[in-house]
Amino acid sequence: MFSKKTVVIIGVFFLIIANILILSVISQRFPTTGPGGFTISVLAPFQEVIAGSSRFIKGIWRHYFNLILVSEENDQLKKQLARAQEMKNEWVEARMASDRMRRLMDIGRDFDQELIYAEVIGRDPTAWFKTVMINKGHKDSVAVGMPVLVPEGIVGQIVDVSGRYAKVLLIVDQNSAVDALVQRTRARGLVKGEFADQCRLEFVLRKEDVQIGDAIVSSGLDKVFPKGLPIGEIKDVAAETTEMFYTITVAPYVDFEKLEELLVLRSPMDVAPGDDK
Amino acid sequence: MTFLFHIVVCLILVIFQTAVKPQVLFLGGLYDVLTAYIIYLGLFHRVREILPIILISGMTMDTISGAPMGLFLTTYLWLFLLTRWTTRLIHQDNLVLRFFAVGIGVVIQTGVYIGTTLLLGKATLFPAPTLDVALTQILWALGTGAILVTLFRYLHAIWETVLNTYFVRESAQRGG
Repeated sequence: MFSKKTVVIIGVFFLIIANILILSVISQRFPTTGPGGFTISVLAPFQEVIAGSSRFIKGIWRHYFNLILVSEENDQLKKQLARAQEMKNEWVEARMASDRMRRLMDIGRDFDQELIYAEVIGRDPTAWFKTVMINKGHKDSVAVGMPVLVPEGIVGQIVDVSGRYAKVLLIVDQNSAVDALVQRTRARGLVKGEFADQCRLEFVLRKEDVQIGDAIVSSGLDKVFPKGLPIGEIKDVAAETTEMFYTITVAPYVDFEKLEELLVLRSPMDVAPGDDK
Repeated sequence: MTFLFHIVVCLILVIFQTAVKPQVLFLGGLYDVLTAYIIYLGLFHRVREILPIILISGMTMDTISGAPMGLFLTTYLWLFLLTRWTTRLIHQDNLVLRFFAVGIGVVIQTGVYIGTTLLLGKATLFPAPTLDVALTQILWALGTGAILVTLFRYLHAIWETVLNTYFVRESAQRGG
């Protein structure tokens, strides 16, 4: 009745229809229990383990490379930060040096004599004596006896000179003495160095008016330091009953621990600016 | 060559004391470390071998310091002689001696400085800060003196070994 070819075509057609129907029915109503559920529960743990392991390995791999990249980036950032810190530090140091220089130049303008700018390069090797070495010497016209100053006041005087270097005896050294006045009352005395970066004002008669906080300035009578240069202020006054003179402790204005740059006055002058009393 | 070694070490110590120590805050109370070196020399070296080193060190310190001229030289000489004399009574490897030697040296040195200053009439009698500084230095000396002496001896031993190896090789090559 039908040819063989027609039978095959009709068969294939029905097979496709049947397949579609079966697939649509199974996909909508696949049971999670029974044999299907059993299969899943057997296979799923393995799949889970394998998938988990795969994710873990992928994670490690990805993070490893990420870590390498992050580590390299971190190194670069650290270097950049270090460079930035270094530049900032240089900039801060330069600014501070510039400020100090400006202050030194400011006091330099007030003197007629030539001022020699010097830097501190070394300090006394022991705590018992107070000297500093500076980087200026004979070749820069520095000579023994020249006074040394900073904007805050008197530092000391040159006691030893070589070609390019000189030694400065600080006013807080026990061998130092500066002829001085109490600025308010003009009482005269001798500022001598004492231990622990402070001085004593000696030979001030007990009839003089001297108070804590009074400023001490150089008198100019020692022919070393110009008159009127600030030295320090009175920290303590004691009057022993048997003594003719006060025992006066003076705190210098200069912080000798922080001395970095200073000025050497080429020759002593008679009157310093701002002290014409 | 040994002379060169001692001179170089002394110069390094002087530079350390004048340029490095003032920059490091916690070293402010440190004693004169050359004292430790002088005591090391006194413990382990002969007088005629070391006397020039003491003279040079003392004069160098006198020159760069504000101390009265000759103070360091005198102190170092006395310390060296006292140390030499002590080694006649106690063996130089005695641990107690090594522990206290620098501390006692610093006590003597401090005594000489304070005595000289008082004799010259430059200072009031023992102001409180003087005692503070002296005590700090002595404590530093007790804490670090033995270590420094051992370190100096060790460095010298290394120097000798290197020197001997070099010269033995040189002379062997010349002889061969």
